[in-house]
Amino acid sequence: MVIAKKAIIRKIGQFNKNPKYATLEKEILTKINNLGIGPAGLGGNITSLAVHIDYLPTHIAGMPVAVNVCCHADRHAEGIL
Amino acid sequence: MKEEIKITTPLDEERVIQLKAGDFVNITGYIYAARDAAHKRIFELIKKGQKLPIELKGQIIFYAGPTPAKSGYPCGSVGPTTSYRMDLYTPPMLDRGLKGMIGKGYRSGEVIESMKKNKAVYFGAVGGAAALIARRFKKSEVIAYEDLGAEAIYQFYVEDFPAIVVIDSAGNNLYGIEPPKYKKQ
Repeated sequence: MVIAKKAIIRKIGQFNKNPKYATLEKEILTKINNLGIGPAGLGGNITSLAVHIDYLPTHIAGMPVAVNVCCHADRHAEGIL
Repeated sequence: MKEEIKITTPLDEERVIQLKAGDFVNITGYIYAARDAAHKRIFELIKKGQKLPIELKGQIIFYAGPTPAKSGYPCGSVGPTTSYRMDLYTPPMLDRGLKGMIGKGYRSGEVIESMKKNKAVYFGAVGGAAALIARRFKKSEVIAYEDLGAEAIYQFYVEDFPAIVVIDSAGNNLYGIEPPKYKKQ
């Protein structure tokens, strides 16, 4: 969670130094903006200004992921990875 | 930029049905603020058929709890909270004459059906702009449930509070209408 918080305060327009994660950041940003949700959910081409990913090593059996996203309205979702 | 429509509280049915999803409004008059905890209490009172601490007929409730006011200001920062937490409690309040709600985010099918039945409107306020919104708040007073702190019911006098009609009394819903127009594969 701390890493996710730190990622948020990275300057917009800077991508992860690791090209693998920089590519993933760009891919996710494009997919989010293609959704058309827009500001406040009222429709638009920009839903997210940036996606920042950071990572640290972990034990192979634990793969924790923390995501910080907007406000309460957007914090409830389920998905299968 | 679309023209802003001035509306004053309390709202009557005739005024509500003129408001269409996508309209920009400036609200002037007395409005109330209530969040989850206050809604739960109101809901319980309605279920028991008891008198409510505020008259809902024609009123607008803003889903918000203000921060403490700085000295010399009538009100602290006050921004919309996520509305769906109020969904369960909303239809009985609309049955009691509540005409407007201000918040952010989707509403349930039950709320929208009740809005159509009772002729009510749902406004979206701008999230993340609480300090700016507060400048349009001229008077602030706790009028019920003081024990709830920031979740108490407040009465505000607002001048030109900017909001967008997101769901109108015919059930037109911007959250459903607009995003598909911008969706790309």
